[in-house]
Amino acid sequence: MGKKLKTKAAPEQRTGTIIAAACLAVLYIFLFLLDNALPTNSFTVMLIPVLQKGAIFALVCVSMNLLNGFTGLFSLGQAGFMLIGAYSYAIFSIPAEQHKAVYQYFDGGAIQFSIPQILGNVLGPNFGNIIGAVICIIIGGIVAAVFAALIGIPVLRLKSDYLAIATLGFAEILRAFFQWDGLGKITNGSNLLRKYTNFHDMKIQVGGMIYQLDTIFPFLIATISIAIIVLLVNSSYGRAFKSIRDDEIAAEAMGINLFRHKMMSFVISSFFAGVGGALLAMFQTTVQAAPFRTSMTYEILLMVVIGGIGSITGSVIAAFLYIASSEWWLRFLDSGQFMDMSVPFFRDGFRKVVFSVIIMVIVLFFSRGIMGDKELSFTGMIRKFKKKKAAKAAKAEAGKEGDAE
Amino acid sequence: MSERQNVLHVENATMQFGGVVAVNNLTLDVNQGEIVALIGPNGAGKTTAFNVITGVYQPTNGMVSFMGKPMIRNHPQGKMQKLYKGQNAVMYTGDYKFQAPEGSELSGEALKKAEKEWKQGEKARDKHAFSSHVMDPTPDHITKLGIARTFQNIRLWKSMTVFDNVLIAKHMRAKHNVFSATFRTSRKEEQRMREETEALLREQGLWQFKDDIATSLPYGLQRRLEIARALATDPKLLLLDEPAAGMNPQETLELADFIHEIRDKYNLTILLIEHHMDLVMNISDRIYVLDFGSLIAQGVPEEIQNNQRVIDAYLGVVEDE
Repeated sequence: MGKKLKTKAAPEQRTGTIIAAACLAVLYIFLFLLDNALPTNSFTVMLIPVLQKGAIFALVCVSMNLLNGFTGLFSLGQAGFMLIGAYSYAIFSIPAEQHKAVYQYFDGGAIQFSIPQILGNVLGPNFGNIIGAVICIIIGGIVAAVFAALIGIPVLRLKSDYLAIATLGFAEILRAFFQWDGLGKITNGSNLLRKYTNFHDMKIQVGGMIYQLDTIFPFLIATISIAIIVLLVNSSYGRAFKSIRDDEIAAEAMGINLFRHKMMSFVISSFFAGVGGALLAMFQTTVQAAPFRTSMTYEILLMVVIGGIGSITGSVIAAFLYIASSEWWLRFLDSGQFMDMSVPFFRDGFRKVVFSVIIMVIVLFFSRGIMGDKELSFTGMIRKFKKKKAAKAAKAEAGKEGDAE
Repeated sequence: MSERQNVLHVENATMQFGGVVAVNNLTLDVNQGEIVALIGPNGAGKTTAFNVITGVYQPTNGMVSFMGKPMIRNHPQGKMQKLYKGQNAVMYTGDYKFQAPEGSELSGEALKKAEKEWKQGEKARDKHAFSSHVMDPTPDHITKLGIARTFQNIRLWKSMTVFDNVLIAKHMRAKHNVFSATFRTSRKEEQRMREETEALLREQGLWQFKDDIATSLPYGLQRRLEIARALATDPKLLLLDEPAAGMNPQETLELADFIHEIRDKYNLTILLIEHHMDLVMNISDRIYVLDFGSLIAQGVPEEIQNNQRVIDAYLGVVEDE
C-alpha cells in the first residue's frame, strides 16, 4: 500500500528534485568561478561578502525557524549561541605561534594548539586548514548545544513570552561572561580574538593549481546544515515538533513527551546557531563578544518573520534579501549622491530610514511573511503548473461542448 | 462481570484547586471490555476526573491504577495539607487522634497498647497508600501505558492534514531515534507507520479526506478523526469526552454503533462522558453519576434511571402521560 503511495507522487517529485539539484550545481559553479575566475571589480567586491554573510544568516535563520516556526518555542537566545560558536571556533583555530600576540594580556592564553595546524602537519596545509576549520565549526556547534542543554533544563518549562525573556537574559549574561577577565586565558577578556583560520585560507591544491574556496565554503556548510534541518523537519520528529506548536495539550495526550522534544529542538537549533556563529567568526576575521547583542537576535528574528514563520525557503530568501539590502543595495542612500547629483538628505543613516519603511510595508502587506508557512519547491511548482494546464484543458473542453450545443 | 480483568481503578481520588473541591473521593472501576459512562450536571467534575486519570492534573489525594498496576498516587502536600477537605481530612489537618472504639472499656495499659498498635497501623497504611508517585505520571507516559483520550472541545492539530494528524499519534510507539529518523536510516519504520495510518484511516472511512486540513472537515468527521487519532496510539482504554456533543440525532445514533464497533474491533475498554441520555442508557454497561464532585450513584442504566438522587440532581422528572 505504501509503495503505491510513493509511485503516485514520484514523477513530479523526481523532476522537481532534478531541477533543484541542477540549480544547486549551477549555483556552485558560479560560486567557484566567482572565487577563482571572475575579475575583481566593484561588483564582485560587494557580491562576495554579501553572499558569504547571506549564507551564514540563512543558516542561522533556518535554525531559529526550527525553534520558533516549527516547535512554537519563542526563544530569543540565538545571538548567545552564535557567540559560543564563534568563540569556540576561534579559540581552537588560532595558530600556535600567534597565541602570544593574540593573548598578549593573558600570558599567551591557556590553549596552546590549533586544530587546523595539527591537521595541516598531517594532511598538508591547505587540506588541513579546511578539515581543521570544519572540525572547529563542529566543535563550536557542539559547545553551543551543550550550553543549550544545560540552559534548557530550567528554561524550557516556561511558556511563550517567559521563555523569550529567559533566553534573552541568558544571551546577555553570556555576552558579559565571555568578556570577563577571569576567563581571559581562554576568551581573551574583552579583547579581540584574531589571526585564526578564515574564509580566505580555504583553498585546495589540485595538480599545481590553487583554487580559492572563499564563498563556496560557507555555502557548502550552510547547504549541508539546512539540508539536515529540512530532513529533520520532514521526519517523524519534525511532525512531532509541529504538533507541539499546534496544540501542546493534544500532543502530550497523544504520547509526545513535551520536554524531551522541546529540548531536542532547542539543542539542535542551538547547534546550528553555533555553526552559524563559527562561520560568522570566519567571515569577520576577528571575534569580540560585544556585537553579539540582542539587536542581532532581533535582526535574525526580523529575517525569519519577513521570510515567513514556519517556512525554510522563506527564511533563506529573506536572509539573502535582508543582507543584500542592508549591506549593498541601499548603500547609495548614505552616499549623499544620486545619479551624480548631490542630494542633501542622502546622508549617513538615511539607509536605515528607508530600510525601516520597506520592512514596515512588508509587514503590513505580507503580514505572514513572504512565504507564509509554505515552501518554495520545484515539485510544488510543477504540480501547480500541471493543475493549471488541466483546468485550462477542462475549460476548453467545456467550451467546445457549449459550442456544439 | 467480576471475572473480567480490572482495567482502570480509581481510588479515593480528590482533586482540589485551592478551596474548591472539583472531584471528591471518586472511586470507580472499569473492567475489560466494558463501556462505562460518567454522567452528571455541568461542572460536576467529569472532565476533571478525566484529567486526573490522564495525568493532566496531579490529584490532591488518591490513587489511580491501570491494568492492576498503580500509576498515579498522591496525598496532600505543603499548603494543601491545611486546605484539604476530602476523606480522612483530619489526617492532614492535624486533628487526627486515636479514639478508643466505642463500647470497649479499655483503660490504662491496654488503652496505651491499642493506641500504639493503631499508630503503627496508620503508619504502615500511609506508607503503602501514600508513597509519592509510582512513576512520573505525565500525560505522555500514561498514553504510552495504553490510555488514549479525546477532548470535549476538539483538539486536532489545526494546520495539519488528516493523514498527518493520525501519523503523528504513531510517533510515540515508533522505534527510531532522532538521528535515524533525520538521516532516513529507519525508512522501514516510517513506511510501517504510514501503512498503519492508511489502514486505520480506511477503516474509519476517512481515507478520502486524507489530504484535507483537519479543521476543514465537518464537525462529526472531526470527532471521528479525533477518535481515529486516539486509536492510532494503540490504547487499551479509551476515554471519550462528550463524543456526541454537537451531533444531530442521526449522527448520535450512528455513534452508538460506532463505539460498539471499535470496542469489539480493537478490543477496547471505554469510559465516556456524555450528556445525551439516550446514547448513554443505550450503550453503557454501567454508569457513574457525579454531582458537585462527589459520586452520588452507580449501577446499571435501569438503576440509575430510577435513582431518586440522580433524578433530583440531573435527570429531572420524566413526565408520565
